[in-house]
Amino acid sequence: MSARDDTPPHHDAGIPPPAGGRVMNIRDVFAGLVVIAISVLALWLARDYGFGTLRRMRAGFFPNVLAWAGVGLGTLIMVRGFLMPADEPAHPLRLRRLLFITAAFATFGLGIDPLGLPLTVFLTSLVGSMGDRESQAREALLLALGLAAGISVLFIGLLGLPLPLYPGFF
Amino acid sequence: MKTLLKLAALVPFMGFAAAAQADYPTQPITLVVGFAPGGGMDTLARMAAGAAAPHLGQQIVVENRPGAGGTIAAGFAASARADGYTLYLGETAALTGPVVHGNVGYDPLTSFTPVAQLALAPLAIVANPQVGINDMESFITRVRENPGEYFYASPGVATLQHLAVEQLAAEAGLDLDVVHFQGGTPSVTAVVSGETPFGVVSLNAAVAQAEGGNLVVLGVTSLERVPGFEDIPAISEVIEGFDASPRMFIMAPSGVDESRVATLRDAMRAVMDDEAFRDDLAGRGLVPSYLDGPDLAELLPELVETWSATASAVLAE
Amino acid sequence: MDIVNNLAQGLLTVLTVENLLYCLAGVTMGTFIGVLPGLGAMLGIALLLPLTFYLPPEAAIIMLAGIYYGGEYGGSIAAILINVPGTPSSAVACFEGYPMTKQGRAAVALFSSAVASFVGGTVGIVLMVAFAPLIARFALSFGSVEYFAVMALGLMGAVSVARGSQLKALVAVVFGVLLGTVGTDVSTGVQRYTLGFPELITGVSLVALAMGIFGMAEIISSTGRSISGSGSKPGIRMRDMLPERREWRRSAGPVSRGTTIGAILGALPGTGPTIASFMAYSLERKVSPRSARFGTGTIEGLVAPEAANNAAAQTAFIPTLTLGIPGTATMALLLGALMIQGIPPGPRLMVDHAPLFWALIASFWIGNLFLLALNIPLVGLWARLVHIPYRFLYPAIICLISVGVYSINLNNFDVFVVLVMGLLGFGMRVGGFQAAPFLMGFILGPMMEENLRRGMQLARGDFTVFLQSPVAAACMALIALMLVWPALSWLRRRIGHRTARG
Repeated sequence: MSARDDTPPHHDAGIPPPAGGRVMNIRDVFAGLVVIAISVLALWLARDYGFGTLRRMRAGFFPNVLAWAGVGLGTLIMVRGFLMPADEPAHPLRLRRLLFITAAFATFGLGIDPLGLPLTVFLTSLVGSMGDRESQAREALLLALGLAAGISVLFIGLLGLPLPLYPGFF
Repeated sequence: MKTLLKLAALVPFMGFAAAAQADYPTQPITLVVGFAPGGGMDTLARMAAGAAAPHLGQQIVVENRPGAGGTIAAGFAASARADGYTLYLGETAALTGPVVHGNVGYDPLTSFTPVAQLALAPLAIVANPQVGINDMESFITRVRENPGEYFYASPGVATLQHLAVEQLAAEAGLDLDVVHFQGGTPSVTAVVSGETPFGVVSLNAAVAQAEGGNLVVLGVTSLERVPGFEDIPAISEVIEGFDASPRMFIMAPSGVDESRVATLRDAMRAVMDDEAFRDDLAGRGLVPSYLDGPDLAELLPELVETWSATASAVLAE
Repeated sequence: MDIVNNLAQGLLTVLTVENLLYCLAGVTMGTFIGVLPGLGAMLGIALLLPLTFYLPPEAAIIMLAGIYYGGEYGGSIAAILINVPGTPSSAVACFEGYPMTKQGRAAVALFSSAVASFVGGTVGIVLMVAFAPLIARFALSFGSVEYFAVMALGLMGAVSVARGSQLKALVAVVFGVLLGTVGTDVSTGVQRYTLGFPELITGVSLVALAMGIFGMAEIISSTGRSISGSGSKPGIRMRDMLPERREWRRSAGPVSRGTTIGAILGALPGTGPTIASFMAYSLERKVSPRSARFGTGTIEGLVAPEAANNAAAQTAFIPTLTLGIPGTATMALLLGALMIQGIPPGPRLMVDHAPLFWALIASFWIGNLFLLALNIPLVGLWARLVHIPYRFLYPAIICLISVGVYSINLNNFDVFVVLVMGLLGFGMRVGGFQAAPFLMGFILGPMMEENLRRGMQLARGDFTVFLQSPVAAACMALIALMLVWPALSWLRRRIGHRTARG
């Protein structure tokens, strides 16, 4: 902290130094914006819930108070992001992973009712495997087959859960 | 292991299947329940399923689809294929679903064909012993003399418990304040601990707590005294004609073939004729109360109207 | 002396080969169901409930109770190994347990979690035997005002749980509470933030939320070849699972504090193991001299909530058995099982069915012993799991999470809740927001709101009720202290700074 106190503050009319400059923390500026955006959305959705009074709070009291707190805190984070450098390394974005793992969960969610458990697990596993660069087609296929069989036996056979086994159109 | 049990359960009924109508049922029937396994509705579902299976010659599989006070299951059943292989075990709260929860995906009157009413689940008005009130008359007198003074614990907004007391308050001219809790257990606790002087709970819970001296039971909401609990007066003895007991019934999606519905009705009638089954229901705080499908269908519009009107009234506040 | 006599009688009942086998079957099955993401003790009990129709009452309840605390334990295993909390109450084990696994210390984490659980469970049982009626009366003295105060205190602690920016921790708590408001408002019946989905009427599912924010977010984040770094060898010897000597020493305090919190909160109807474990973690984070290192795999932060969790799992039986008031949904299921056996739950249970009651208590301890005996040999096996190449492991985790979450309500909506929460969780990581305070806000927030509003309503708007009850007043004082303390210490530092300079 004390080391940072010695560096002169960049208050050049509120304009942050260009990207790559050491002082502005783009991540926090962006994070603050997202927090404010979500809070505003929450405020808008809660517009009809009724606020009430401190003595008799209505349904909207908490959401409104919380969302306003979100707006305030988001602003603070954003302002701090303009003024202070990042204090920890940024988390990488990993777009490939993000895409395929989201797709895998979506596959399961969309597939389970029409396709039944084994087929859905098979597809989910395949889609999920694509999220890793090192995956090989043969390995991924074997894994998906093994999971489809294993999970079906475990959940339907052993635990007896009423999950669909076959595709609905059979 | 479970599958083995299921198979074992199937074997003895194979013979029946041939004897019953050949075209229906030819495969297991699913009975959808709107509550988690282990609760009162689930228990009733499993009992009814087990008892009806021999009469139908097919197994009945209970499927729990909890959520939104049971209305998700009702919506699911209403949109299921109307082939008689998906049935719905509902209770009175399902009738107020559209009013209470908005878009639930069914209409209680047009989406279903009633199969049979099985039981009533009477509620009890209870008081904390410290309040010093032991019967319905003094309860009414006390509340009338102190309008707006007393709270009662309800297990949630527009639950049947809440609606039943509001109906009572309207009919008896009482000014009672409601305090809502998250479900039945916290509301029982509130009365036992004295946080609220009065409450409305299932007869079962009321009797169990009253035995330990934790609660005083003032009256039941059914029209008549409950068999097996004859010492608890019915509220109707003080407020004439008062009747606010949740009902439990089986419905099929509308559009199921007439003959299939008839098969199901015959099976449920046979189940409800069985003395042992009725005793079993009574042992769980339920009142066996059989109504054939057409009779229930006749009753439904009035039930939907009364309960929904109370529900809209409390929600408008 | 009565107690000793009764307990001995109970032990005799349990110590038949048959009952021991049911107990073993219960805890084993509970552990495995607990390990599977999404499937908790509740589902395990529900699955086995029909089977218990054919068992004598003692055997039935002993087995079901075994599933219950076995499940509480098993949930932590998945949390520690793959960052997927098997049960909501084990989500806390992700905070410190998973970082330990990543450092190649999975065996140590599992071992100490098993021991802490055993200690917490045992103490919980002893308390239950000695003070059940007393604790039951204490539990009843908790009204809305007291619950509000305790929840508010917990939320204050939640902010302090985070590493790094306190500002972002505050945002995480606020958004957690905000997410907790989704669903039907208890006091007015208004549907908040349901966006037209009937599934959201009962709120966002905690299980799906935890799966997404921990499990899915972690799968997106981690790219290593296997979970534990390449450093450690697959073979696990006894030595590898024992904590270091100083870790034993450092754990004693956290375990006893965790046990105390767990025992108290477990006994309150309405709190239970999940809240107990979160509260224990946040207390430890507050009092530990090494609090700055929390979140990086500190053993104190693992054992305290584990002990709390299991102590609470035991004391949760107190209101259930002495008052007939089940504290959690799982307890309600167990009461249902008793009813099926023709035993009416209620305040008279302890008197009318004394042999059953004491046999059950005795079985708790035997069951905890079984759990310890079962899990220590299994530690090696479980720990091997983390050496599986991650590209094989994570598709399996995705499938297990999905199936588990789907089977709770047979509704694919919950799978999409996992998806959305996973994306949110990943976004929070990228933005530098911690999951721990977010989850605590989500769990404690709704109870705080509900009880505050109810407390105000019952007091007819009189604020002073929150100072009249001793429990509430004590909590309020602590909250005030926590608010004032940072300011005081900042001032003191400032003055110290100045004098040092001057």
